[in-house]
This record gives sequence, structure tokens and C-alpha cells, in this order.
Amino acid sequence: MSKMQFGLGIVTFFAFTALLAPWLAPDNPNAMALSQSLEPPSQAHLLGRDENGSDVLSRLIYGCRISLGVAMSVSFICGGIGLLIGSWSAYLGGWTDKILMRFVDVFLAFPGFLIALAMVAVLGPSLRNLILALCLTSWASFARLVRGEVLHLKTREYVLSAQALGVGHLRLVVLHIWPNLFSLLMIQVSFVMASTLLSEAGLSFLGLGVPPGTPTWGSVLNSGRRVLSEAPHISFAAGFAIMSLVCGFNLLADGLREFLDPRRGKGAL
Amino acid sequence: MRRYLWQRLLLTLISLAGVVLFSFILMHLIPGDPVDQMLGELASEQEKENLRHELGLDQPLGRQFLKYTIALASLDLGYSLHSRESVTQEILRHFPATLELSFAALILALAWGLPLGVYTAVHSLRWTQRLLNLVVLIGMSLPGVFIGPVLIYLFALKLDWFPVSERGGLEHIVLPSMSLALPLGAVIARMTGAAISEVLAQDFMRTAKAKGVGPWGLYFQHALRNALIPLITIIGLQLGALLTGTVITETIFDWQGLGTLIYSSIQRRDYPMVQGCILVVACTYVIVNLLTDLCYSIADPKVRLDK
Repeated sequence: MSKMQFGLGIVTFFAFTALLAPWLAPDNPNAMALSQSLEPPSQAHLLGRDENGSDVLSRLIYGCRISLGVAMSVSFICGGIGLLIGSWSAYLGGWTDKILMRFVDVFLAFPGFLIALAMVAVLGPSLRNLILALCLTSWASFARLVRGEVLHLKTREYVLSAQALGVGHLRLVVLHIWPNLFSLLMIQVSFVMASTLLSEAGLSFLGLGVPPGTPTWGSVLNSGRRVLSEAPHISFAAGFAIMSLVCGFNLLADGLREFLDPRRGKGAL
Repeated sequence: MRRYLWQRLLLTLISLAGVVLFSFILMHLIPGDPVDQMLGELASEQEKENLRHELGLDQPLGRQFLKYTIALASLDLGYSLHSRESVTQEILRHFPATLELSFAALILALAWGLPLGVYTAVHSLRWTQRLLNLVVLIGMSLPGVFIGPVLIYLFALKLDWFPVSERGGLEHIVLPSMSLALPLGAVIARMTGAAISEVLAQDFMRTAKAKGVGPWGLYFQHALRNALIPLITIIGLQLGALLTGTVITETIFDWQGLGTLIYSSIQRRDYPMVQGCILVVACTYVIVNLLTDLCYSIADPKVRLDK
């Protein structure tokens, strides 16, 4: 089985878990039963209960929804912004390109996680703020990538001939250039999904991602950390979920790149 | 070379200005009245008025920014709302711990990443390579939030080899630096592998082999040296990432560095402190990246002699 298939398999598994959460989860993720707090794993509760007595497995299944949802929103929004700004910059060239690219450079020069941390800390924990903060720190890489590719495509014969035939600017970019960016964007989306999942886990872990009580992988991990000596499986299960999905996206991105560019071969980043 | 240097320097200056602007805006992003947020509901009008005046929030935005930048020029970052101490002093007190942890992590990461990278590149046809690639991939996907608790559980709670938290002797730094070094080493291994594979395909490597250079000379003197140029960049960028990425690890291990300072200041709504820390760490990041690029351009004759 190739890397790409394996990665795709992992990602599909978690995507279905997220989609079917209400049917898969054995219990309400927010149901509290303080008398049964930290109950060890049993038949009824495969991963036991956390300190509030909520079913850990259900919290992880619902957490998958939020973690994956945040990562997807961020990478698609950033992909969109990057696509627009990158193509605009490369297609127009000249001063527009220079100014936009300096702007992108400045954003790339910032430490992403720290900026997102500061933004969420100040704006307050909410899903919208979390997505906003993470978008702010990842759109620039898309813009840079798209710009490079559009610059290259702009000089290709088929684009030049379309231009010579009188195809309008908008149509040229949208119908002739964008379809060729698809594979490149897919690879970058996979990478950004992986890094966003890690950042989201980190922020939720610090209690800065989502409102308290919301089940995400990061927050489950955090609640498990406080009871590490009594119930290590809570942290471990959440950490393992994050790691598997991140690994899945990394595999997928890697595999896609090898598939689309066999010449570059393994390992090159 | 000179043109490249100027461009790079200019970019750094713009980035630093961006960092200053961001840290200034941060205080104004606080929803509602920032003073309410910092003092809580119970504070009296007089207290609020005093704080507002102290932070300069009662002045027009333009003048506030001017005052902020002028104060910055004399390294004055204001006062902590919590300890009433100078923010600059507090940051200086916490910085060495973060530096210590970052360097320990970098050394550990290099110690396992470099040899692994060389090995994967050299044995490109064996099944061990596939296995090592998998190890590297898993390592790269390891979230710091996961490794930290696992290490604490295994080595501190179960085996009792190392202390759980806080700074102290050498045994205290082992677990936190390991938790940073595991994923970092994987990234280094991967990049080293890629850089060396590229060098191995070059003609001079075949010549050296034909000349009868032994494996040590071949891989470490010929290959690694030529692969060193991209590696400098990677290591520099990772150092920058380390300096900013220790928040989680420091919090887990209760390591009294800048990361913990940022975290606890956020918890206490000590916004002047948060603002100061973000500014200092982001500037460090930008400057480390600049130094990396400079090293790179000095090491690479192609960049040095170009233009």
C-alpha cells in the first residue's frame, strides 16, 4: 500500500468519525456524573470517564468534529485567500507584486503559533476567534506558493495562445491557470491541516482555543494531564488521536507530492 | 551579495516594525474596555481611571503609538499589573531559562536527527530505510502536548528516574528538552536525509568513491559538508521556532522561562506583560532568522559571489 493510500485511509477514518459523531458516540460528551469521576475503562465506557464523569471516548469522538472542523476551515479559508492574493500578485506583476510579496514576507517572518496565541488570549476563547487567529498565521504560505506557480504558468504556451486569442483576464486566470494549481494546493492544504491540528491542540491545551468545556482533542488532553498519575489513558488516547490524524495528513501530503512529482523522490521538503 | 544583504536587512526592519505594530494593536483588540478586563468587575472608578492613565489609554491613538515606540527605544515595556515590576526586568529574568532549554533541545535533536538523516540517505535501498522513514514521520507528527505527559508518566511517575518539573540541576532539563527534541530531531533527520541524497547523486561523489575514499570520508567529509549549507538554514529556522515554541513544554514541565511567563500572564490578564513578552519573543525570532540567512549567505559561495 502506498503512502498516499495509507494517509488517505487514516484521514477518511477520522472524517467519518467526525461526520457520524452523534451515532458513534456511546454517550453525551458533556454529561456529568461526578460520583463516577475517573472511572477506569470498562465495557460500557471503553476509555473510562474523566474527572467530571463524562465518557472519554464520546468526548474524543465529538472532539474530532471540532478539531477537524477548525483545521478544515482554516486551510480552506487560507487556501482561498492565498489563491486570490497569489494569483493577483503574479498576474499583475510590477509594483503590485512587489508590495504584496513584501507583505507576505513579513507575515512569513512572524512566529505563527505565538501570534495566534496572543490573538486568542486577547480576543477571548471562541471558535470564531480561534479560526481567525490561525488563518492570520497560515495564509501567507499559500500566497507565496500560488504566486510562484502562476508566475511559471503565465509564460506557458497554452496561456500565451489563449491570451492571443483574446481570452479576458478573469477567464484566463480562473479557467486556464487555476485548474493547474489544483494538485499543488491539495498538497499544501494537507500540510496546513496537519500544522493547524497541532496548533489547535496546543492552544486548546493551554485553555485558549475554545470555550471551557467544549470537547476538543487538546482540551481532553489537558484535562487528562491533571490526573496523569491516576488515569494516564485519558491523555494518551487524546494524544494518540492527534498524532494519528496529523500523521495521516503528513503521509497524504508526502504521497501526493511523490505521486505528482516522482522525479523529486522521497524526503525532499 | 551586497544587494541581497540590503534587501534582507530591509525585510527584517519591516518585520520588526510589524511586530511592534502588532504588539501595540494587541492591547486595543481586547473586546470592551481593556481596563475592565484587567481589573475585574469590582474595581472602583478611581482605580480604573488611574490604570487607564498609566497605560495611556485616555490619549488619542496616534499619540499612544508614538509614546509606545519612544518608550521601546529606551527598552521600557511598562509595568506588570500583577507584580508591579518592570516588564523588561521580568523578561530578562525568565529569558535565560528558555534559552537554556532551547539549546539543550537543539543539541539533543541534532544528536539523534543528524546521524539518522545521514543513515537514511546512505542506505536508500534497504527495508531499514522504510522503517526509519516511518519513525521520522511519526516523530514529526508528535504533538508537544502528547510527548510531555507521556515522558512525565513513564520516566517521572513510573520509573522515577527524573524529577517531574521545575528548574534545577541537570536531571531537571532532561525530560523537557527531550520532549522538544523528539519532533525536532525528526524534522532535522528528514531535512538532512533530503539534503544528503541530493549531494550523493552528484558527480564528485562518484569520483571520490572511484578514488577509493572510505565510507567515513565519503559520507561525513564529502557528503555532509556539502549538505551543510541547507542544514544551516534548517537548524537556524528550528532554533527560531524553538525559542517561540516552548510555551507548551514549559507549561507542562513548569519550567520558569518566557513561555510560562506568557501563559501565567494571560491567565492573570496581565496584558502589559503579555504584550512585552510577545514583542520580545517575536523580535528574537525575526532576528534569529536574519542571522541564519546571513550565515547561509556567507557559507554558500553561490550566494556570496552572486550579484
